[in-house]
Amino acid sequence: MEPDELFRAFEIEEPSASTDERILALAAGRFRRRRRRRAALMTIGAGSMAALFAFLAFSPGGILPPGGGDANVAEAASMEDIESLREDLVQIREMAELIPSELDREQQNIDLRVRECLKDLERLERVLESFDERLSKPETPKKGVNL
Amino acid sequence: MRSDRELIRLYERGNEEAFREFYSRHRRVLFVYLLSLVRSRETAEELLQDTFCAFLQGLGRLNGSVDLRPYLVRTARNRAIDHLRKSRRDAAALESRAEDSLFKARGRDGSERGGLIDPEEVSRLLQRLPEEQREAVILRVFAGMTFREIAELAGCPEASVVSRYRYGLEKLRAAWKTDGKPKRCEYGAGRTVSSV
Repeated sequence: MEPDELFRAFEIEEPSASTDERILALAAGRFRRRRRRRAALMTIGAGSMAALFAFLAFSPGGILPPGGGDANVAEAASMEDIESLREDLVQIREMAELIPSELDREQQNIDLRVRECLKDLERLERVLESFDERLSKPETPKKGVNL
Repeated sequence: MRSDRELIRLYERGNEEAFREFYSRHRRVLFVYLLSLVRSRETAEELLQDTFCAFLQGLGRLNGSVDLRPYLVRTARNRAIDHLRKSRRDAAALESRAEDSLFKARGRDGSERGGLIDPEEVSRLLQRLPEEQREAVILRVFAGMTFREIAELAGCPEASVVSRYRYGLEKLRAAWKTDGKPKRCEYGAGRTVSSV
């Protein structure tokens, strides 16, 4: 029998079951850590999206403008909401920094989107401020029509 | 059968079972290769864990065209070299380097130790080969690597690997008696200090 044939006839040694378990646990742990990070990001992202939607929908000039309706809705779209959204977005950015370096592109995408959202927020903030200013100005009395 | 790349892609998407399959495909070969380098079962197990740990950490940086088995073998080899360098500083540890068998006591044909073919003796013969020849034989026979892949790993021309492999087999053949039983350490005690 040739030596190489002989080697093939033997069953080569293998690592112990405990080593197998440790390595597989290592792989599973890595995967679960990533999944947790992703879930956290998605939770924060979803929360922010809901808040943003609420803001856009109920803000003056939004999908569901408060004019003539419930005055409380207008109050909801306040500067505090914007501040809260901004905090959420900053938190998303911080979470994005936890993304492993091998996922650079994803991290950059999230960062870019968050920056865009922050710019939109600033724009909305300015709109809201000007709107508030206009509201706070006393309305000039309209000329009545004598019947 | 799914390719290594495919399994890793699935694992990256969250399929733990795919990694299990990938691991079971390479665990034995890597373990025996590490065992042939460090000669201690315990150390080989530690290095195998280090190898996969490094592999998992570096997954995101892996080029899509890299062949994963040679990559894993290279990672394992680097780990073993680091270990051997450290252990060289400790002469006592070097002297006490065990020589665990590369083969299981029972062969695939079911023959047990002490029969016509003794796996432990064959393992000893293989371990007595000069390291470069042993590496060529193990990676070629067990890991199924091409001469080119082994040459890239060892950093030498392909022709050198081919001759190392042939010389290695010739030495084993010479140590082999015509009745199929190996002679005891026919070609000397071999090097005790790894030259990898």
